[in-house]
Amino acid sequence: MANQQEKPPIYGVMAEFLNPQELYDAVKAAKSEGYDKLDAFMPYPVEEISHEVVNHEHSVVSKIVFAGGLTGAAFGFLFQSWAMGYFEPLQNLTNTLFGYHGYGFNIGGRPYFSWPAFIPVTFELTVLFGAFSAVIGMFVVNGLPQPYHPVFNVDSFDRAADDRFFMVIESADPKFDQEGTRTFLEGLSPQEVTDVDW
Amino acid sequence: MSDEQTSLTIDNAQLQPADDLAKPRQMALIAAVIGLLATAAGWFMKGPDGLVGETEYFIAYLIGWIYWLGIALGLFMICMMTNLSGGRWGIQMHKVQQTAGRSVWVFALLGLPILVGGMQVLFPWTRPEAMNDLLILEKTGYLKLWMDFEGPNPEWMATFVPGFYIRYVIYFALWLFFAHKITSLSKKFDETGDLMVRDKMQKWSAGGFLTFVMVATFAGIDWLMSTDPHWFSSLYGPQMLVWQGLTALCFSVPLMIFLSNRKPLDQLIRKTHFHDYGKLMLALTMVWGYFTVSQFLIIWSGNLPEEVIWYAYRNTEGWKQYTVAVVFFSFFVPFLILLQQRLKFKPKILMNVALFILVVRWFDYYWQVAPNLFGDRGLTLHPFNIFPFVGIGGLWIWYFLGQLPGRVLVPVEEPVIKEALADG
Repeated sequence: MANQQEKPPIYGVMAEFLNPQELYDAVKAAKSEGYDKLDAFMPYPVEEISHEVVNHEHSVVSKIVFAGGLTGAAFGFLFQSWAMGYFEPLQNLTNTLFGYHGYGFNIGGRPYFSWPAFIPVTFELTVLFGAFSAVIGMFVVNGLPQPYHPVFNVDSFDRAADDRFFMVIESADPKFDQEGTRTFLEGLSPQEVTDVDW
Repeated sequence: MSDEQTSLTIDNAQLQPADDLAKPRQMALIAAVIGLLATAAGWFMKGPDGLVGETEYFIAYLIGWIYWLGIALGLFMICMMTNLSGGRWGIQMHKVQQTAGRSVWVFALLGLPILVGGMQVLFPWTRPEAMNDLLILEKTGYLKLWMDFEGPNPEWMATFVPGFYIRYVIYFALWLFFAHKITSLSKKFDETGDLMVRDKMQKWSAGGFLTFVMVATFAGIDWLMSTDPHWFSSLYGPQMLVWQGLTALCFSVPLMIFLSNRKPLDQLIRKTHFHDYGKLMLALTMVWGYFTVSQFLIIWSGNLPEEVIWYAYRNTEGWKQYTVAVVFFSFFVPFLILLQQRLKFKPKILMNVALFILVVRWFDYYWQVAPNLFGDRGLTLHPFNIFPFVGIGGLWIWYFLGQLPGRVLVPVEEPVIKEALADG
């Protein structure tokens, strides 16, 4: 339970706005105030606000996809070479591990290691692994699936799916201070400012 | 938002200051004079004992000519394409691209030295001994537009190739017709703002795009593929389009940087437009890789003598390393650079990548032609190659840039342009 003690008493402070313009201005103001850990909630996507809130430049998903693609390419090419009995160390390794090794087929008299014929499969596996790592990476980076989130403790938050716009400044932010942040948010003339319980 | 600043009409949508292009034009003219003088000197000094071999001379000229022609055609194809697709990203360059389309007549004249002196050098099917080649005889019905294997066949008849000349005229006629048709409709639209005219322009663009695709296919077969008349690839036309599109996109980047610093286009060209061009450059780089591999894979699997010989030449000592380098620098290097999103937002970096691709494109064109004509002699890269490339390029750029001042540079009546200007 020691962990619970270190946790700040609340998740953050939430402000409710009437329209996207107000929310956009609020996000801008909070950013220029130096708040970094904040989130915005809207009934529909507003690109400008997403750009302010999420720093796309530092998204790691693209790097995950690149690594996945490279893995797919290497796997596709090496697997085919292995299956055709190529790469002695690889053959020995699978032989000792599983008791299997590749077997070279004579296809139309071509050499066993016919790399041009390997390219289509290599390409397909690059795409497949890349696509999979994009989806899985997106889930992991977003922390999905997430069955519980503190913002739903706020009663009026239901309207985030209907006609209201919300911004939360999280207590994890180094600049966060319950009273000060609350006063700052009230200065942005929102409908309501609420503490978000854990 | 001040109205004076944002309202563009046909009266103030010209390049300002108009003499800003004088310096780049002067540099192009110097390049043109040096390059073309050297090319003209080479004409008299070519030959087995001369400074440059006849084959090298005409390959250099053909590549230089096709390279810059491809840029002009590619630019106009982007114009027709964005006419059809709509959207904001391509429309601000329309007027510049139309200017490039109309300038194609320069190349109709610049191609004449090949027709006059280079036919038998570059195209083995026009040589007298081709009359004894059964495989070529099967194709002469199309290539020469006449067939007569039965008669006495005097030598002049063997080298008589009306089909090539007729098609040459037809290609340029079609290109120039569509360039002028669409330009005049665009001009009419600027003056009247009548959306019916815009509709008509879109329809002509559809026909024009289709025609350009077909003509590029035939021209590619005539001017590049028939340098090895035995060989054939049905992917040649699409590849020709990729070369044209890629060089045109890359050529646009420095041009857009120049124009985005000057009125009137400074109001319209944004960072996102460079990103769009970067994305298309990446896409076409990938298409290049896709086509190159497909063609190779199909021919490699088929393993037919008249087809594999094309790759066999490119697999000999010297050419083999050249081939690997072309694939590496045409695909892997630009692919990995352009894959990074943040680099495409930086015009300066994108320009360097574009210039790099433009250089590699030349080596790819050379790779398409040169091994056909002296593949059995190993890799040959004569320094003379630079002169026709620089000369023809300089002359065209000098003429093309000279067409820009004094003309309406923004399609002012386009709804998306008005929208973009209103947004500031």
